[in-house]
Amino acid sequence: MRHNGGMMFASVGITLVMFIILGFFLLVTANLEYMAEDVEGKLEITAYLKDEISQERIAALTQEIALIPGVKSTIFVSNTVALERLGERLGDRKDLLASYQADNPLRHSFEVYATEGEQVISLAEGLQKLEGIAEVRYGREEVEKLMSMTQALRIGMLLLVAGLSVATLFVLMNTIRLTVYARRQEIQIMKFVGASDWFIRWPFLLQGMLLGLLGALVAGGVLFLLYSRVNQYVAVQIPFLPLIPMMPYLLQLVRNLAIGGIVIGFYGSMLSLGRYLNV
Amino acid sequence: MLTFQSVSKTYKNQVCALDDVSFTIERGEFVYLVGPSGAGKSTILRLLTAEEKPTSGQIIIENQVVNRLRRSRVAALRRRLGVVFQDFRLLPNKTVHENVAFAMQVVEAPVATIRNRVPLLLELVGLSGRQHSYPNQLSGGEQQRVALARALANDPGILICDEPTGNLDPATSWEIMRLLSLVNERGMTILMATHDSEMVNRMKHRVIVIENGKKVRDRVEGGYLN
Repeated sequence: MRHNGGMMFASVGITLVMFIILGFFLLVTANLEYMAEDVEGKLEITAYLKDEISQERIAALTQEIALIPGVKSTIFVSNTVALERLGERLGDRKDLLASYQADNPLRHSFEVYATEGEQVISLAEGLQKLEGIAEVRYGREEVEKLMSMTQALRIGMLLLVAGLSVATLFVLMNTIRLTVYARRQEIQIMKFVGASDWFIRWPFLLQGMLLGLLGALVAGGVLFLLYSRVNQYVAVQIPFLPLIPMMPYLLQLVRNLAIGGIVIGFYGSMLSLGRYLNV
Repeated sequence: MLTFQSVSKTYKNQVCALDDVSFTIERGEFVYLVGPSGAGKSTILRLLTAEEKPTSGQIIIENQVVNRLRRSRVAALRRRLGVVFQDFRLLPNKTVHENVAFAMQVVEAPVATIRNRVPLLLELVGLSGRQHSYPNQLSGGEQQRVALARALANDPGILICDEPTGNLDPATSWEIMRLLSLVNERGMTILMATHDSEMVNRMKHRVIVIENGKKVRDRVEGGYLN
């Protein structure tokens, strides 16, 4: 074993890199799904009104919307209020909106709250049919966008994981093969005096699994640090962005990476031993 | 107790190594397997240790058909065979004692048994004082004695020797042969492949002659040529 320390280092290194990339993508997709769920849980629908709408129609709409089944409550937001809200969000850059005070480009809207999440889509469709409604927006649209994004990411990740797993497997196989080669005399003698296949195999399997485990654990540590930093940053700078809390999610991730490392190490050893055991 | 029944072996490259070879070796016999190199001696030994399977025919050791053994049973068969090679095949980084003990460790013999048995084996082959030496500190003859002690470590029923004196000078060869005779007198069955005609004529035992993959002679009274 001491003869190929460099190779061992390389194999742990490549497992490390692979597991960092893998873990990173897992974290990104998991967080996107988490965000999607968060948006999905929102029951708010915004219905924008046509520009030329009359005051009478607005009053009628208030009644009509309240009568739709599944509506919990509804609030009318005039374009003046909308502009004020926008001003609040801009904070000290509020002055940018000064030129719009005279000619408000925003539309009146109704904020409608559904009683249950499942009703949001049908409710939005119902609102769309009402006279005087220009456009309906709700969280689900965002959800669908996020979902299609995670879907693409998932497929990409799957391909990446497959490729990286095969690469890691080959590197580990080569490392084990070197060890096996260095000890081929011993293996041959073991075979001749009647050692069982498993007796000969297990030290190599153990070595392979340890190399895989080591790579995965170090990668887990790196991801742990990275994620805690990102989490802290987001909590301060982008507080409305929901991220998966560190615990227990990251521990699960590290555990899964460790299992993956052990499995790859095991198969790498088994494959590289095959030929040498057939004496 | 050891039988070849019409054994033929053709290798993948179409080389016919053995052609319809039959013989039986009884318990306690000492048999020379002679013939020019490439005649098929090594193939016979490889078939015995289940490294190769015959193309046709059967190999039977103590009522067990070797060529039908499942892979998992091959290890058990090999524990009943001791093998000595021309090139000794000792582990260079292990001492004499460790080399012999290694054979017992890998078949998971109890530590106490190993501790008791290794000195007895080294005494048998006349190397009691050398147990802490490394193979490169020993002469060829001494190395072969270690290899013999190792082959006997797990108390096999048959000792298979592949040109055990091939790398040794005549005087040393003679010592090894005397040792093999001693082991044989204690009841060990020995099958020894060799082309040392002088030895075969000097220490007479049964001789099986293989030429071009065929058994051409089987003389119980011994002697190489004539």
